[in-house]
Amino acid sequence: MPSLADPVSNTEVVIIGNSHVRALSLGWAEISGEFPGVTIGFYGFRGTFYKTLVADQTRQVLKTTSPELQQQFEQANGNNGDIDFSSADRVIVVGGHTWWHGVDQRLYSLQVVNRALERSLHQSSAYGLFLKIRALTSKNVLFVHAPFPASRQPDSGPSALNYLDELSVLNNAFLSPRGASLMPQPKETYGETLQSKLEYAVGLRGFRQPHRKKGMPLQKIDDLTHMNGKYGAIVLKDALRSGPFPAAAQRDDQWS
Amino acid sequence: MTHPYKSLPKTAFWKPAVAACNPLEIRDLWDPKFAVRPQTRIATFGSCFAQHFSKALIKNGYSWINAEHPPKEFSEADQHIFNYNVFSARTGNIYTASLLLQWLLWATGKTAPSEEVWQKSGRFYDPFRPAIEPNGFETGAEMMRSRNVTLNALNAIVKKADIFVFTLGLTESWFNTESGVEYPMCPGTTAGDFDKNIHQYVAQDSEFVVAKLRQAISLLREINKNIRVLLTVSPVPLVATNSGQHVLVATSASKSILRAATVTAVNDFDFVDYFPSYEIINSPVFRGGFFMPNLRSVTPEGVAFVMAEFFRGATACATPAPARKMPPSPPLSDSVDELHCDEEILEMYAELGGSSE
Repeated sequence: MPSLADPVSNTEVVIIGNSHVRALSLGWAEISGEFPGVTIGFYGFRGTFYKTLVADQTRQVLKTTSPELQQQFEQANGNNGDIDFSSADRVIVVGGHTWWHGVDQRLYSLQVVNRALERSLHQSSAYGLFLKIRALTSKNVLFVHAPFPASRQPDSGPSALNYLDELSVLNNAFLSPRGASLMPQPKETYGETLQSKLEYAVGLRGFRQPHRKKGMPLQKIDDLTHMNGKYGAIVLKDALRSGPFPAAAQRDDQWS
Repeated sequence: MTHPYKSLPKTAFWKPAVAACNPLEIRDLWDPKFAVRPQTRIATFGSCFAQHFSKALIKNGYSWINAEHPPKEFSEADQHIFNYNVFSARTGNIYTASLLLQWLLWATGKTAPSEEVWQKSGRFYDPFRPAIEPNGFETGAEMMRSRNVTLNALNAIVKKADIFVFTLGLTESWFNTESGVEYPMCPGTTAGDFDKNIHQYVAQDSEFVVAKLRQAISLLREINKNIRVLLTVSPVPLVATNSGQHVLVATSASKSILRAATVTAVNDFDFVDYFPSYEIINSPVFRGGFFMPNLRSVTPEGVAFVMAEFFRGATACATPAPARKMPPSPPLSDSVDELHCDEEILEMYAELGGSSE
């Protein structure tokens, strides 16, 4: 398998997700020169548009049932707007689940923690999307969770104490055996608490406001949940350089 | 010439209070010693029947203390399987007064908790909560950590509760003669291995129960000088007896001892009251109609009748009227099968090998 860090590799990446895809697409504009062999198709929209996606088994693509979105995807990627995994080397799903729940593992047995996380996973829209992807391909899927909201009071957020432990449980118990993996938010983008640094919540970020009044800025100035291209570049570098995932081909039965 | 009976209320006379009444319209069975308001913080522990209290308190908008919350992702089914939201802390069933005392001594740090761990097929079980988690725990350390969470929760409950509701269930108990600890279940039934050299059956007599109940109540009050205690006796008959008596006779003896102990406790302490759930379900007035066909489990209608009486008494005592009007208690639809009753495992042994002598 070619290394994605290798600039001569011809690698195709499909990124599907909610509004946080925007940060990655902005970031890609900054760092694509470092990855000359990599092409990325971005399929992102506000909210849980995943629900409009249906698996076309005949053509082996995901299609949106929304004509507007179809057109948007066409324009963004210069194709027919369908999400085609046939030539993709990597699939990245962004957002769609509160991956970190703050389940205090000191209070619960491993059985309880696993049960809680599994249930949460099954109820997420990202999982629903994952099932649709799995109906078409057994290729590896990398989950990237929504960034921690930024705050002007960086010390007031929830403790990062159990964050990596919980992700580790999710990866080891549920995702890795299914050919998937969840990437932690890069450490340099948050501090001692689970809040993104304010520097990533400024400037251009998020999708345009649909009902923006004339003269208003493209984005809400006080939006602290969506991050900018600087953040997206860091995340995308991590995502592209992360090692190969375990194969999922023999493990499809676990998703039934 | 006068005498005390001339001035007694109607409820003091069987004929007007019982015989002449529609059984379902019998009222004023409980005259509470102290007010129970919706904002009163109430903790519930004890035998299986105690679970009805927590459910009814929640349903009627009362402040039931739950000091051990499940992860918020847990479904109701998961909560049930893992014994969350059953009692105010995950102690499992506490059937006897002595077992309550043991839990309280451990929780308040008066004595060190037992470090005994039961092992089976590579899993680890808590001898004092043998069915608290399906398939036990991953390691002995995890089991101890989990029990410590419960002990901390119980300690916090004792400190903050306004009313501690305890439902006494059994007098037959099992002790470890070496360590002196009491188990909620006979070792070897739910988990663990029975060792006749160290596992001793104790049929608690009246003196023993009264002494342990007094100690438990005194300890509660020592930790929280404002706490009040509401005792009840489970109306549910024994699943099985190791006394050598017929289970029907043993049930009567057991419930009589428990009931007598509550009388002593109520007389001894002005902050202790008794709620007559035992009488309501077992009275001949109701002709056994509040029991399921197995003549042991209480019907949802029986539970609803008991709890309606509880809320009627609580509301009447809480005058002036509380801020919100209590709705009539709807019949509880919860199936009795949904209750956590560790001792029901014993029923299996009747089917496997019970002798009919």
